[in-house]
Amino acid sequence: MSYMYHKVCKGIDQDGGSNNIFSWWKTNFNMPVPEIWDGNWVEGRGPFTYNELGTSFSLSGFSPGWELVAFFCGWHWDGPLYGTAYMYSQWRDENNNLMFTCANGSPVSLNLDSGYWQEYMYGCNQGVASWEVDVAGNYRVRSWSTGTGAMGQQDTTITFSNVPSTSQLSTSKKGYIWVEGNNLCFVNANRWKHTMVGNQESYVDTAKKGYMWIDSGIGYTLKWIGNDGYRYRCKWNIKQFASTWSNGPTGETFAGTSKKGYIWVDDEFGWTHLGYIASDGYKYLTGSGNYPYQAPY
Amino acid sequence: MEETPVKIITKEEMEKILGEGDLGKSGTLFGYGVIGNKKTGKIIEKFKVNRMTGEKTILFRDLNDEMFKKKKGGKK
Repeated sequence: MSYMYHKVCKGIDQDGGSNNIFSWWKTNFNMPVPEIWDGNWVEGRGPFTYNELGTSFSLSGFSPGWELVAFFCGWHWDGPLYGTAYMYSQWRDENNNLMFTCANGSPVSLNLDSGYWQEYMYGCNQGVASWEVDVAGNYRVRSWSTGTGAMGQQDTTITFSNVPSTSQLSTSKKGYIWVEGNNLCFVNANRWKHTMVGNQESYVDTAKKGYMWIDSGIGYTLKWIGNDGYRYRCKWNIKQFASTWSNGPTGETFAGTSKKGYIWVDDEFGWTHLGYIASDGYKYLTGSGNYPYQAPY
Repeated sequence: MEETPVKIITKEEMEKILGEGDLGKSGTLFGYGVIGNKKTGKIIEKFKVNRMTGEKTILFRDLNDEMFKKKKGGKK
């Protein structure tokens, strides 16, 4: 018997544990994804558990430039079976047009005796942007395979509602950064205004509103002074590391301590976060989205 | 309070520092797969396939499993 399974989720973790956890829901585009594949593989499920599996998602409160969900597709074969299978998986839009291909004829050899089974899995994610989800409707994920143990087309409808506007600001605004109220705002490389709501710390001075710096102590967080004179700290930051997903970083970056304090709107990967060099000389990431390394919220 | 004043820089300046570029659409870099033995309930092989090249890498193989013993012995 051969079959496929579709898992569309906000995040993943390993058998309910806290290791190798990652969430797409409300996080900045293309944050680095840790190793996620070393858990116990279960037939019809794969090597991890899924946080908030679903087929209908409300995007209320979303900003463009945040991820939504990931689509994991699994292909299953039972032996005896010998040959090569070619796998395909896709995201399709509200008009059933192809948005992008996930697996595109990926080959896998099958050399299974009777009494054995094989599975293969591939994943790709989806976010809010004019080239991804930009209008409410019934989208779909699709998969099939050809060659040995071929499986016919299987669709799962994924409904997105309350989709925010994805209109972009003018090119001249890209890279603007400022304190608005008590929040840190910037226009990211995709030209969307993003707002970072910080954690309030101690009172400093209203005369210093708008000051911004990178803490040289533990954590190397980005800080600023709000209009109320209080110091605010970004809710999260992460030292860049190699992602196990495409369109992410290939490793950490050491720019050197002479570059400490440099900050910019990223257009290297993701195009929606801030990158900066801390006093240890390494590159850190922060942004308006949720922290990606915990369960979705 | 220790602090580092920020210096806002342009894309060009950032690229001089980092020298990296776009990597394409967002999905797993590798597809992953396993082979299981129904009788023992064990995973006997784990592998990954490079999304771009199709190259397969065996991550784990239980050479003591009957299927691999048979194949090593000449069975198809």
